[in-house]
Amino acid sequence: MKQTDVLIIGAGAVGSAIAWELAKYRLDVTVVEKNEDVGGDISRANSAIIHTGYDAAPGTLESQLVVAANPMYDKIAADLDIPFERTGAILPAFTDEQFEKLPALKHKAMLNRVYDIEYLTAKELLELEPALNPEVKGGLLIPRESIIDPFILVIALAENAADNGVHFLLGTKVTGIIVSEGAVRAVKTDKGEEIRAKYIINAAGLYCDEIASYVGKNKYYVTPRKGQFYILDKKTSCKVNRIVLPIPTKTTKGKLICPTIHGNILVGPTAEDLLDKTDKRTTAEGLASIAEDVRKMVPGVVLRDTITQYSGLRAQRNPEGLNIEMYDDLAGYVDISGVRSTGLTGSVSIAKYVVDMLIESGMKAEFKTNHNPRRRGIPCFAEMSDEERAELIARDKRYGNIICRCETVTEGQICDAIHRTLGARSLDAVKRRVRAGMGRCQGGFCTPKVIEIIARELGIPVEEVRKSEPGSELVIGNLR
Amino acid sequence: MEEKIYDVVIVGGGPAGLAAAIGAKEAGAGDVIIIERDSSLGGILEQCIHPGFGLKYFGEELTGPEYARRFIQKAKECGVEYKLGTMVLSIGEHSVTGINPTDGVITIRGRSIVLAMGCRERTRGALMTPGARPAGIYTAGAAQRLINRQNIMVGKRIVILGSGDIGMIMARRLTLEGAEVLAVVEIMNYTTGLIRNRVQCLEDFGIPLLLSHTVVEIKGNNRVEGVVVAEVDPATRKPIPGTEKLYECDTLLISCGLIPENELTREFGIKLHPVTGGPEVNQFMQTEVEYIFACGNVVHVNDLVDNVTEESLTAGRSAARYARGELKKPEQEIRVTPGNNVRYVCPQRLYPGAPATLFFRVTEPAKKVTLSVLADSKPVITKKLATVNPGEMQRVDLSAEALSGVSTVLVEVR
Amino acid sequence: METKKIICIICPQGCEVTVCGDKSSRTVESIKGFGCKRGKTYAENEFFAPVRILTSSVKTINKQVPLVAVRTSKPIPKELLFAGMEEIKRLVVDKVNSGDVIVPNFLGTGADLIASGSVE
Repeated sequence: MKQTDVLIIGAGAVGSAIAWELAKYRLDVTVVEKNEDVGGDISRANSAIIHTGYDAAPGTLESQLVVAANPMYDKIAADLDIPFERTGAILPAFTDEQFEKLPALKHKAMLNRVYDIEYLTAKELLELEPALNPEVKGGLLIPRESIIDPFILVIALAENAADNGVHFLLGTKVTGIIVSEGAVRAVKTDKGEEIRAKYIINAAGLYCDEIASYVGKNKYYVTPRKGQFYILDKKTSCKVNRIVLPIPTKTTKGKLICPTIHGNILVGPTAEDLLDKTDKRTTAEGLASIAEDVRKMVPGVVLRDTITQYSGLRAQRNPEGLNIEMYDDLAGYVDISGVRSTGLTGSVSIAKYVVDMLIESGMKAEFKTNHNPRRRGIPCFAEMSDEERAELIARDKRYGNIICRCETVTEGQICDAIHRTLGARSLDAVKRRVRAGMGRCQGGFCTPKVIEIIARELGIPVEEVRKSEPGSELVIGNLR
Repeated sequence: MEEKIYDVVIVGGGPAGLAAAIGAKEAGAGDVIIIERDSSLGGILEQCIHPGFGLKYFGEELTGPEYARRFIQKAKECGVEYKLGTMVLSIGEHSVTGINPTDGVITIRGRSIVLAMGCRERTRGALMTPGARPAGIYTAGAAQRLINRQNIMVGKRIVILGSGDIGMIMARRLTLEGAEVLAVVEIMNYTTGLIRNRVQCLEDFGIPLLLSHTVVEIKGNNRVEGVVVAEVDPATRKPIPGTEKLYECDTLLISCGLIPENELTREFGIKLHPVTGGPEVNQFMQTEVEYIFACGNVVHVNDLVDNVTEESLTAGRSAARYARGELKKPEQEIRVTPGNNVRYVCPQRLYPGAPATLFFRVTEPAKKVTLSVLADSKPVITKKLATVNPGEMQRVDLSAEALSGVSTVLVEVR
Repeated sequence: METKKIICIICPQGCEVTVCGDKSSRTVESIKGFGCKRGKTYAENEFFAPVRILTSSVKTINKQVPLVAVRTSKPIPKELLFAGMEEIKRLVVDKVNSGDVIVPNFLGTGADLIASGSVE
């Protein structure tokens, strides 16, 4: 039977961040993830923003952790080679009603200790963002709201954890937890094995209520809240330079428009409460509502320049609120629930908080003397100078073979993505790591080539190459 | 070492680039080079193994590779140089820069440059087809590449969205390979591809063609499990509630139009025409930058390769002429504008006093119409046409006399 | 006696030609709707014995170029397309040049199956 000190359920943002943090200690850590790739479900589809927490409910754990997380990202992004930019955000008011809300929003930010929030006049706002509706009356600037590559953030945390000795069991679903004498002892998996663990951390995101039910701690349930988004072409004529947030209403936080770290424009999300945790369909109605709302802020946005639409699910806890808990009657178990749209931001501080909680509860933890805090990312060919490109191709010819022309991704990068720590095994996993297929032709040109590269590099027949999870095989086999 | 300067540098080795290279050599150009990203010349023709090419140009029915081969051989015979496996990343002043595994980053200089990058396919994302995002959604051309070049079969039960030529051709190809094509779904009330393909690719095999229909939802979390098809109001093209029908399939092919591949053109600062998506050209296929020429699908999407060949030969000849000091920009150009029921006309500008062939597409299908070309509001050509379809490009030839001393040309169909 | 509507593909006009005739005796009772002489001939041929060029691909032993395009040298009876595919699926070739005959007198039609691409 396998044995580990700490077992983390889920390799989404929170699970991967906890693994990254625990990897600094002399502990045997294992992450069990149901998907074939790290990155989770809900961590993959979001607005790719590192929030400041200015609008969190003051005094809550969520406020504490999101506010604490934001300043951590400069160093994390540098250490782990993650595309990250402090663009800042603005909250423009277009109606008198919205304008009157600004002082209260600013006060809330102050309560959340986001002291750098500033009032801006209409003139200042239009100078910053010429595409704004000229009827803007004034607004707020939140300088530290930032954009990040959300896939690379989670992948980098997991990769660095794995490079520092954390084990990842991918494609493995936890189906039960064995408890005896008031303590967790092991998890059961769908592979029919049991893994003994001194500590078990429930970082299962959308499914954390199911995991909690295995130990009888499901005093809440989770429902998915769908958010649909548009991604616009990098060449769209109407762009914004920073995150443009709507003034929230009583019922909704509204739909934003912002640049992505790779130069596209992101518009969305909707907020639709669902029951089905696998329903990631986009709908005509949802997309239409985004168009209507965002045009109020940026009237010139050209939504026909969309290259793709997607939807993500937020894990809505009922009752609401971020909750991280250990139980007196269940030693060794940590339950994390209520991680919602701020979870990507909060993951790194949640990790610190959880690890501190474990140590305070008596977990023996000594720092490693050989921990490597750095990760080398995959070279980004698109952003290199001609000299850098020539040098790279001279070293490895595969960097001279462009596979994805829209995003200028080379065979060398794809092979790196496949063969590195926790390497890509599917088309989507390649795409998240190097952006092949993320451009305006959406893989029309490169998908046939990437399928062949994956098959060749992994030594598998083409019919086993998947888009993502088992069942998503891309083709049915050779013709002849 | 003295840096070599080519007379003509051609970006793209498909039908347009090959014909441009031959045209340039025929017109007396010295060094001519084609830069091609694929491992062989021929471009998209290499995967178009179906017949129907060359009916106009050669008067015989060839397949894509056969059509390409004639031009590849001719280009080689007349001493055209070429670099394969080389992706052009940017265009500069009289130069193009690309990369390949052996040379690394290379910049090639030319007195003239010909853009012949072809086009790409409109995607599901651009169409905003709602639903899930499973495996099994391909553009028709990507599926064609997989099947015809890579020996890879995409699926068993197929729905095709869009009645573009590649979609209909793939319907036949997949049927012959044993797949079941459940339907070709077209939002317009006419096929957007050629009638020949509707007859020989769909009707021959009893494949249902659903006009005024569209896919309103894609189902399946992992692989495509089905698509919901609904009828649309022909006027608004909006789905009619209550007409939805589920087609259980494992694959959705998309054949909803082609878009000229002009990223390099745009990056260089050449404006793109809002309707064609390509650079504006004159009858010499010369763009607004006098040493840059363009031809084939990069200018406007053609339905017949024969037309591409014709205008690309012109582009090549013109590029050769420019390289030896001719074809400087005239002081005054003639504007060509589309009139009634004309979606666009190409070329959009004309050199005065030189003959020109105008290619144009109509906006709506119509029967028994009159084509008129007006120069400064005076009719210079009036022609009866039995049928016009947006899917079939029309052409009209203008003489040098008709274009002398005029400043505008209008093309209309009534 | 049989009546068939045939869409002419000779030119983009797509005339709908109605042919009424007897297939066994190859007699045309009436034919209408054609716009030109070529269209009339096409419709008559389509009525009696429609033919098509079959194009497909054949497996090669070359790993880099797994398939080579093939075609029938001239149109073959439409009803033989699927039989032709079965034959094509069984073939494997080594080096071929465009135009090389792969199967002479393909399915007894008098047409050859020829390579339309090359493998070197």
